Order: sequence, then structure tokens, then C-alpha cells
Amino acid sequence: MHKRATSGSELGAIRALLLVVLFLLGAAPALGHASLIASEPATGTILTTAPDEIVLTFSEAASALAVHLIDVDGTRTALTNDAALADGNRIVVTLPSGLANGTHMLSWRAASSDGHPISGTVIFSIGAPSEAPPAAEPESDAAVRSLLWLSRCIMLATLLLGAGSSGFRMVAAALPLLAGRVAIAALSVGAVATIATFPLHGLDALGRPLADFGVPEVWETTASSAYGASALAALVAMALASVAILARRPNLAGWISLSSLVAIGLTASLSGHASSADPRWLTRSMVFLHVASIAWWAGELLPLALLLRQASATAKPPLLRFSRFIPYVVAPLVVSGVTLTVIQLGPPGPSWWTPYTYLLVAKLLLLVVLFAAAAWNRWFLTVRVVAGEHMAIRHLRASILLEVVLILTIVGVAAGWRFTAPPRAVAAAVASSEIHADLDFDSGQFTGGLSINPARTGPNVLDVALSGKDGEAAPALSIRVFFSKPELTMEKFEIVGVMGATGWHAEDAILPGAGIWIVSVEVRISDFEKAHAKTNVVIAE
Amino acid sequence: MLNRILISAAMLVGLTGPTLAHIGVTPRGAAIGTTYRGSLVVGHGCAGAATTQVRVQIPEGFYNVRPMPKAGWQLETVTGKYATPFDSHGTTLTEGVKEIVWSGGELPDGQFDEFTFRGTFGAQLEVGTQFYFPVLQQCGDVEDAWIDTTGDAEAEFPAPSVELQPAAGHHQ
Repeated sequence: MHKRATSGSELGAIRALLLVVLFLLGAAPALGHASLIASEPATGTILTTAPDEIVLTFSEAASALAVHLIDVDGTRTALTNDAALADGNRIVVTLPSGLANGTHMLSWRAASSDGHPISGTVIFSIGAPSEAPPAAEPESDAAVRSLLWLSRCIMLATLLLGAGSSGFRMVAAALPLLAGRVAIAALSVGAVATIATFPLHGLDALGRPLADFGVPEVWETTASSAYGASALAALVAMALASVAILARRPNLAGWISLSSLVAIGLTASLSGHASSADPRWLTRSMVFLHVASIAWWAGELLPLALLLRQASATAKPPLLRFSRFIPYVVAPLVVSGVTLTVIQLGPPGPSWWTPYTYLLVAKLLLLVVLFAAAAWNRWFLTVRVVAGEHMAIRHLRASILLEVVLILTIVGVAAGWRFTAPPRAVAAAVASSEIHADLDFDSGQFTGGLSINPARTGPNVLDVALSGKDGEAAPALSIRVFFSKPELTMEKFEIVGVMGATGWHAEDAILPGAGIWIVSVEVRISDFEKAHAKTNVVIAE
Repeated sequence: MLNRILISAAMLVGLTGPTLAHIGVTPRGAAIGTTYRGSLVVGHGCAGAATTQVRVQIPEGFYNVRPMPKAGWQLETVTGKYATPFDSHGTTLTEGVKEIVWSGGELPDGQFDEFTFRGTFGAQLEVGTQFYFPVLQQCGDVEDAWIDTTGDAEAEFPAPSVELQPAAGHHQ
């Protein structure tokens, strides 16, 4: 008995080493979650002549999925993939020639290298803005989104419970018969769900309805995205787990189940928000550790519960070994979880209060209960089960099943993160969303600039800065700023601000709606003289 | 009957026209090179308050200006050099009135009055353009600055203006 335990821990050390080596190999290519940094021309720009191309610059490499040009009349034209070429961190969109004067919208969807679809619209005007901007891009299909969430939940649950349970062959020579059957059945369902995510991910990325699931472009989109690689890794993990469960030789089965765990870790670290935060070598290793650990933990639970029901005597050695292993699994799980949470949240600020954080709080509350149950099992019940107490066996089984339910719930909550943006990304987006517009005054004696932060519906900080022709401060007794929206039947409204040393400043100026606004700036140069400037700005939702 | 309809229509247009709410100068047209006697018509106070001071700027191009005194108001002028000297019947004028201030009076919101001045439009001015007289209307602490010279029909405080017409009896 003693000898077996020693050889088991040696084998464990070799396996841990293999995990690290395999992981380092798998993590080599740097993949990430891109966001738009800038576009040329910038959104809201009024150009004198039609541009030949629009250059979108991202924080990381990205490739175009679907690009539409909505012209002055609101007609949508799909631009072919040849017209939207990826060039490292940039996508260069070649525009058709002969664009009419007025406001155009370039609506784009792109895949960042971690597989997340990102989208946006560049609004630009040729000559002068149109009276009313063209209609905006429709949202991606709700049915597609909910089916995608559901199939991803099934996929993740299968990976954790089904594929993870193959890891039981590291602590016991054989899986209980029923546990094996349940795992194989779950893996079959999981494989179907994983295959279903292929068209669903493509549909979501391209913003197309469910009916288009057979279109080759949809499948190609997933295949060429990072998510495609991630889903393939999931399928490999499921296949390896099935082999490990069915394999006759326990030693071989242990190795195959270890490979399956590696594939599960890769599934998670190949795509997703967490894998794309900087520093990436850290986040990706943390995601890998986190998911591989949770898969092993979750996977052991069902076989253990079933083993306890069959015969407590045969359950004792695996239970003891599980009990000895689990601290080495929970430690990386907690360390990686804390590290990822700290990175994803970013410094405290208003960006914390997003749906991402609400899901995180829900997850943490569930974790408290989960760890309480786990601690009770390990330090209280296990000893009594080994001593042969019947009540303890029953309690342990109930508690283990509770752990399974909790882990599944946590997985469901975590799957919801796909549809939210982590606070660090929100904070970065808010910080970079300040817009600037040049002010071209009719007096010609000076120029100026208007900046709006964060240029979203609601409270904004506005600044007007003036500079004289020869670099001197421009004379200004007072500055007034008005907003108007031609397509709305409302009068222009004035933003109340104060004069400062360098210009005019307004805090908490409420901008009541998204879209193109005309801003008129009136500068009182002297008692009897005023200068005017007009510009267009685009305010986001 | 037709007359009554036309009169009613004219009254309606007159009442609803935008000029009623603004400070204007009459007459609305003036010939280049001739003497012009203009009156600023102040039809109301500033947001209900009584008018206490009227300041009008005399831009370059309107020369040899003389203001008309008003009972109950103190009259001041600010003089300065002309950018282009003006030839007044053989005498070259290099400086003159650039600003007129009527102050110390009280014109209630519900009444109207006229503030009159006289001068000559220079021959260098362009026919068909608007010549603006920016006005600052002071009502105690409140000021309305009628200084918008953009010609924008939507402007909140347009400056009073005169349309320049061809010089009478001259061929240019």
C-alpha cells in the first residue's frame, strides 16, 4: 500500500512536468482580443473629397469578417473580402469609387486573433453631412446568441465532468462502470454541442440569422478564427477522454487522460477574454492552469460519488488519493483565479460596475459555498468515511453531488462572460473614447479645437481651446457652445460652461442622444465682435 | 373687403416677423456716398428689464458721424482714426466717431424708442452688401449683444443692418 502511493506520486511529478512542457509548446503563438484604436478617416470626419480607403487600426492583429458600406440613401453594399485586407494590426478597406456627397457609414465586423467578433461603424461625410444619418446596423440574432451560449455551456460542462472524469484513472485503476457509461454518454452529447458551436460562432461573428447555418462562409469564418482552434482542441480532449475511459491498461489510460486534460487547458487558453489580456504569457498560462485544474477536480467528483454508493471499501484508496492530490490542484486553481481576476478588473473605477463584475460576484459567492463543501469533505468527512461511518458516507455523497451542481452553475455563469466586456477593456475604451474636432472660425484670426470626453450619451466633459495665428493666446471675452441635431425637431441647446485661462470648460454636460450632432461655437472677441465655428461630432450610445 | 384682408394679412406678417423682436435700424436701405440718417429702434428691454444704455459701434466705411442727443439720456462718443481717410467736400477727415453711447436713461420693456445718428457711407463700399451697426443693449446688469454679423436668419442677436444701394445720381 505504502509502495503504491510512492510510485503514484513519482508518476504525478512526471505528469506535472509533461503538463508544463506541453503547455509551453501550445502557448507559443501570441493570440489576443483586439479592439479598435483608430480609424483613418476618424469617425465624424467631414472630408472635401471621397476617400479611396478606410484604415482601421486595432490594438492587436485582426481580420475582417463582414464589411458593409451604407451610403447616403441608406443602401447597404457588402464589400468583398478582397476589399478589406488585413495588414498586421490594420485592416485596409478599399472603398468603391464615385461615392455621393453626404454621410456614409462603414459598418465592420472583424475577428480578433482570440476568436471574439468585434464590430463598429465609421461615420464619415463627403462635402457636408447629410440631413439625417443612414440607419444603423442591426444587432446579431438573439436566437443565435442564446443557442451559442447553451451549446457552449454543454461543451464546457462535458469537458469538466465528462473529459475530466477520465482523470479518475490517475487515482484509481478503473472507473466505476456506471461512471464510465455516464461519461461516454456525456462526451457524445458534448461532441455534438461542440460541433454545433461551429456554425453558431460563425453566424454570431457575421451577424447572420439562424437560417444561414449551412452557408459555407459561416463555417469558414469559424474555421479561420481562434475559436475554431479552441473548439477543435475541445473535440480532441473529448476523444482522448473516451479512449482513456475505455482503455484497458491503467498506466496507458493515465497518460491519455493527462493528454486530455492538456487539451482541455488549451481549449480555454486558445480563445477568450482572459487569454488576451496583457501580459499574455501570464494570462494564458493562468487560464490553462485554471481550467485544467478545475477539469481534474470536477471530473473526479461523479466517479467518487458513484464509487461510494457501490462499496465503501473499494472507494477508500481512490478517496484517500484524491484527498492527497486535491491541495495541489486547488492551489494553482486559486492562484490562477486570483491573478486573472486582478488583471481583468484593472484598477478600481466606475468601469467595475459592469455586467462582467456582476457575474464575477455571483461566481465568487458560489465559490465560497463550493470551497466550504470541499473543506468539509476533506477535513471532516473523509476521515470518518475511511473509518467506516455510514452516515459520513451518505453525507459525503450528498456533498460531492452538491459540488458537482455548484461547479456546473459556476461554469454557466462563466460562460455568460463571453457576452460581456471585462472592466479593464471598458476602462481602456472609456479612456480612449475622447473625441477631438477642429474649429475653423470665420474671423480667421485664430483657430481652435473642441474635445468631448467620453463622447457618449449622458454626462460629458467638454473643452474648447483657442490658439492665435502666431501662437499667442486668442482673445476671448466669452465662449458659447450650442448643440443641434438637424433630423430632430428640436432647437439647438446651449452647454453651460466656464471660461478658464486657456479656453472654455464644461463638466457634466449632458448630451441627450447618440448620433451626429452639429456643434456651433461662438466666441466673443471684443465688445462688438464675435467669431463663429461649426463642426460635426458623433456621440456614441 | 379685399383691402381689409390684405391689411389683416400684412398686420399678421408684421406681428410675427422676426424683426419685431430685434433691434433694427431704419431706413433699411442707404445709398453709397450719400448722407444717411439712421435710427436704432429699441422695441423692448433685455428679458423684461428696462433698457438703461445703448452703445453702437460705427464700423470703418461710415464717416463723419454725428449723434442726435436725447432728452433724459447722456450722450458720449468715442473717436478714433479711420483706416481709409474720408474726403468730405474737399476736406480730408482722418478720424471721427467710432462709437456712440446713450446712457443714464430708462426705457421700460413695454415701450419703444429711437436712437438717431447721421453719417456718410464711403464710396469704397460694395453695392448690395449689408452694412452692420453692432449694438450693445444694456439693461442694468443684463446685456444683450446685437453683434451677430453672419447674416444667419436663425441668429439670436443679429446686428442691425442697412442694405447698401447704388449712389444716387452717380455712375460707378
